[in-house]
Amino acid sequence: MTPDLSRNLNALGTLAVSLVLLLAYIYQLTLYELPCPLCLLQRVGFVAVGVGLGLNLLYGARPKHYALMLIAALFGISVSVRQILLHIVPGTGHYGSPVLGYHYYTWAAICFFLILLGTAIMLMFDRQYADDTSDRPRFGGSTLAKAAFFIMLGLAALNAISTLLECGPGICADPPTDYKLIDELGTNN
Amino acid sequence: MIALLFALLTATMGLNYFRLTTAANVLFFITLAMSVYWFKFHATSQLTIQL
Repeated sequence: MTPDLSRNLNALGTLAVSLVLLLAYIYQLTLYELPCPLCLLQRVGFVAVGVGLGLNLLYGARPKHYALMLIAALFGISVSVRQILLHIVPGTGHYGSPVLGYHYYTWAAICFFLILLGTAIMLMFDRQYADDTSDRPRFGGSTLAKAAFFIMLGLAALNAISTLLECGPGICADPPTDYKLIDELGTNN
Repeated sequence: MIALLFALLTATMGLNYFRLTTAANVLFFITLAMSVYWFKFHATSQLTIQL
């Protein structure tokens, strides 16, 4: 695998993770289903995976960058499996609407599993590490890589703002019922 | 405060962009440690577990 092909695959991976975060936003805004604390922590896992992907986009693929992705995906899958286990006993309810028969946390576990598998497969190709980026521009001159990086960066910042609006500066409500910070600001005015 | 985790990860990506990768790595692992703390907090709170 050439360094350029590796960068393009990492860009596609970044866009795929961005799509997951974007879909979560669409459901949050259209169905007014506020993400629970564990759901938010799964999003943190996706953004943390995006940090490792972003490093591959910026400076070329390195085993260290893939390692960050694996650690982040392990965190994410731990949170999502924990949430699956909370609702696995019949009659214990669920959180959020099902999408194509599965709940968000189940989809998140599947996505993190695919990230772990994909990252492990990517690690096997040695030729991608031959890219010496010390004197090359960021993103290796790839527009796709640049676009993917900034989309992920924007989504990370957007999640920081929306979570602040939902939880306020303190502990997130479990389950959340409203945008806490907006309510508090509305009450004070 | 989970919003802070997103903010720190955004800052990590920003530091990486400006080639401050050592600082970014430190921030990444601090964020991850804080995430594990909040995971333990929320995954074991009585409000979450209604069994």
